[in-house]
Amino acid sequence: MNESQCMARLLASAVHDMRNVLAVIRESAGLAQDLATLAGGKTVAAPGAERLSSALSEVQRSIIQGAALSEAMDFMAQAGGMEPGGAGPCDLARVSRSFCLLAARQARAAQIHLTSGETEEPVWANVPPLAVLRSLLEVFDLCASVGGQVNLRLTAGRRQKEEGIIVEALEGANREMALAAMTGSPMLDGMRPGWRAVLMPWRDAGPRFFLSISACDSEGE
Amino acid sequence: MSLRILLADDEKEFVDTLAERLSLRGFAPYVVYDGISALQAATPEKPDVVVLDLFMPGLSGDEVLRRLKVLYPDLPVILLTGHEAVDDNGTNPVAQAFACLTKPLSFNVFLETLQAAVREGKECSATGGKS
Repeated sequence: MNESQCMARLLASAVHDMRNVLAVIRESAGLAQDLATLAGGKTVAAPGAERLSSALSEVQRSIIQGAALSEAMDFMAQAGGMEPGGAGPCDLARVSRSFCLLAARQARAAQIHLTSGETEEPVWANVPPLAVLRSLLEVFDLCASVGGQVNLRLTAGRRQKEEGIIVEALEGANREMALAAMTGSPMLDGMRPGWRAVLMPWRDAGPRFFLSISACDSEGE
Repeated sequence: MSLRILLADDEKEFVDTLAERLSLRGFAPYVVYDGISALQAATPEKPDVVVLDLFMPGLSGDEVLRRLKVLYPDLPVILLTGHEAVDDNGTNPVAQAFACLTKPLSFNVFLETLQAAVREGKECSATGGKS
């Protein structure tokens, strides 16, 4: 067992428990809502009943958010648990969605608005999901290094029959600087040996980039 | 007569609250907190539906499912799990379940699944088929 697999097992265990905690909160809030509905305003004054209802709805919304985060963390645990060097089919659309959820807090701090573009079907690629997450984090860091304030949309897609992630800087005060930073950094660092990530401008498709991740012969070329 | 729903989950707070909500809606839930108790509770009288947590101490939910299906092939079983990835390749006992739902549950989705499971259970019992 390597360090990544160790982290993956513990993370999966924690996510399982977190889902159980969310489940208890959800059912308890649901029960409170049920009982309030049954009471029909007889025991709770009308303004209080309304407030109770809105508070319980907020609990439900937060649980849905927590469940989505749990799903992304579970995905990361599965990715970290893969055998070293393993690159089974991974759905880049799911990687992109998971990244946007996992990095949301950092994105708010960096004033980067992250969104995951919709795809009609999974985009399968034989790359390690953790390598894709790492490349996306490097793209994120590039945008943060110029002061953030940019809206980034990440969409799994294909370019010339190659699977990858389409990176778009849609708007924001630092959009041009973010585009320039990405243009000047085609090769991303930090990939595990045997994998290479390249951020290529895709001019004929507008101000967007194509993040390509592929196996390479030399180690960390 | 109220539908008898056997709920088995080692997360006591969760399953007790779920049972209370089902009671409020006219179901007759009964709760156990481990796999062996689930088998014992299902043996004297067949429930209409069984809801099993997949990961329980002692006897796991998939093993309980396997044994229940030997006893009652047409018994609809709903699995609950805190894990996203469940091997559902047709050889795993999970494939024998009516549905596999991930926690935290949407109660409405759970109710719909429960009602669909009851319908299927009744149809299977009527035709002598397998669920």
